[in-house]
Amino acid sequence: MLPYLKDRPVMLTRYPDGIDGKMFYQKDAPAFAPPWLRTEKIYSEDSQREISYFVIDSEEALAYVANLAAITIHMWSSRITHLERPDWLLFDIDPKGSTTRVAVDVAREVATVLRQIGLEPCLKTSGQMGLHVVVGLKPKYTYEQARMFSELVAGVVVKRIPKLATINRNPRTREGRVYIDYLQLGHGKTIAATFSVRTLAGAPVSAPMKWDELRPDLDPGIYNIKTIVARMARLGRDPFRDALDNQQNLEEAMPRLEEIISDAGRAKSAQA
Amino acid sequence: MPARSISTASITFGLVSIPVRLFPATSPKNVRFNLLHAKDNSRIQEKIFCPVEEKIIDRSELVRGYEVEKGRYVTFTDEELKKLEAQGDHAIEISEFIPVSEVDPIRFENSYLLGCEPTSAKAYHLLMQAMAKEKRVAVAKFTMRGKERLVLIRPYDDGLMLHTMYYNDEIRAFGEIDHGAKASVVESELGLAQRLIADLSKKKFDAEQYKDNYRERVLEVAEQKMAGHEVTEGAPEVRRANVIDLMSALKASLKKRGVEIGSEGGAKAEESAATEHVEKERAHASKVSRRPSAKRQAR
Repeated sequence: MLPYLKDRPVMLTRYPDGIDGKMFYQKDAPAFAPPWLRTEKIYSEDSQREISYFVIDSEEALAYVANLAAITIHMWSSRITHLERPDWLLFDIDPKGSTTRVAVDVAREVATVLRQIGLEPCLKTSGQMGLHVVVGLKPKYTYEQARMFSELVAGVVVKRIPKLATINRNPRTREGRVYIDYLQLGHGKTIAATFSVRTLAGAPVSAPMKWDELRPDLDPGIYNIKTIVARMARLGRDPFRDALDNQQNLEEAMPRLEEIISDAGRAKSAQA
Repeated sequence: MPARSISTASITFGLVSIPVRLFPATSPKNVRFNLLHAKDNSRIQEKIFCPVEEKIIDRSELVRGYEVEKGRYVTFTDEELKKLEAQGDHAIEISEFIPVSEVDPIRFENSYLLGCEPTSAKAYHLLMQAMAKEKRVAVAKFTMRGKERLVLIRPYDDGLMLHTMYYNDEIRAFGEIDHGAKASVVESELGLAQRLIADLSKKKFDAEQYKDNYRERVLEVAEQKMAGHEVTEGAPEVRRANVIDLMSALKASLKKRGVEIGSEGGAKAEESAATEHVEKERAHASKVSRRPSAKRQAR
């Protein structure tokens, strides 16, 4: 878990009375946090002040936040060293109002489009019902550029499988389709950290997955605190690790993406 | 975490006395908001303000006043009120057993689960089972914190439940409220309405299917807001004209940033250019400062 959290500001979700009790979010490290715990001050436009974010960079720090009953840790998509430059593209595939089965199809299609334009995506469960499709990125693009790129990719996916996927944010207009959230990439925005436990019965975790494990009958709940250690030992290599290690460029993908989009446009006008 | 009892009491009937504990049986899950000062989201305080002296006064300067006529008060101190409280506190005195159908639901105020003490387990279950067999519930007078409450005790889920009830003078009638008492009903219409009811009739009440959707929506949006999602539910969607525009906007953006599309040569120069931009962005968009001491210790 630590390699994923390295240099990233995090937000904690704390459940001092257990997962059925009152919970709260904590971005701001308290004044009484021990001095050895790393914090980084980041100015927040929203609250018009500096927030001291936790940065979890040691087993001790992980134990410290666990002791705060911080069950799920949400991480930024950029690091302190390049805070405005994400080091991955993120497609948060959210089946709320639909089914995991459809989410699996949508995730596959996102991966297909990404591979067609020469990018290699990684996959993890969100730990809840959703899936995170992530492309490791050289941290040289702005959040806005990454978002625009992702929106174009998501647009291609929706064009190909319009009955399964949507990029409509309004849940009421989704009509059973799965939402591809490409907007979860930005300053201050977070995703559930890899291996983070979610506050659901059975204590599922956000688990790395190999693409050939992604089957229509996927039950994300089978990846939980009881099974994940043995699973990772069996896999040997963490399949999500490329999100960190394989930092890709968008330059070569751009003309290919453009080609796909204009092909689709031509096909459409030909039909008409 | 075991539930905390809010009070102890003792059920008496005949010569038997059964010590019990009261636990709230319901916990309303309303969405609660705190009022904040919008400027900086700080919590606010309410102060007690005296409009005559035009100043904020302390709670210790307050006294209870009972309005005997408009603008005229008689006052009571806490000690005086204490003396007026009923004797025999915490006694639940059963006066009669009745069929529960005799009680209109309007009577029910709050519900409490009754727990038994180790010493009272046998008497507790005896009372519960006897009531269940006789299909009767107990009406009792409960002296709680000095006040006399009308309560009902009934078998519930292998235990006893206590409901506080409203007295007669606490219950309103239709009286002046127009409820169409004189409207005439045609037989055929009545038959239609009855058939409608029959169609929607169920043997059992399945409470599972009913949820507070408002609360769920508020909590969902709160979670999205905290996770940094843009929450635009209900607001018009801002759509770009078309993907081609988005594509050219992205291309222009990448060009402007000095990251030339397709020019992989001079990757180093790109990197350093990017770094430079990062520095610039930090300077205006998000001011980043560090605590060097904390960092050094961490490493």
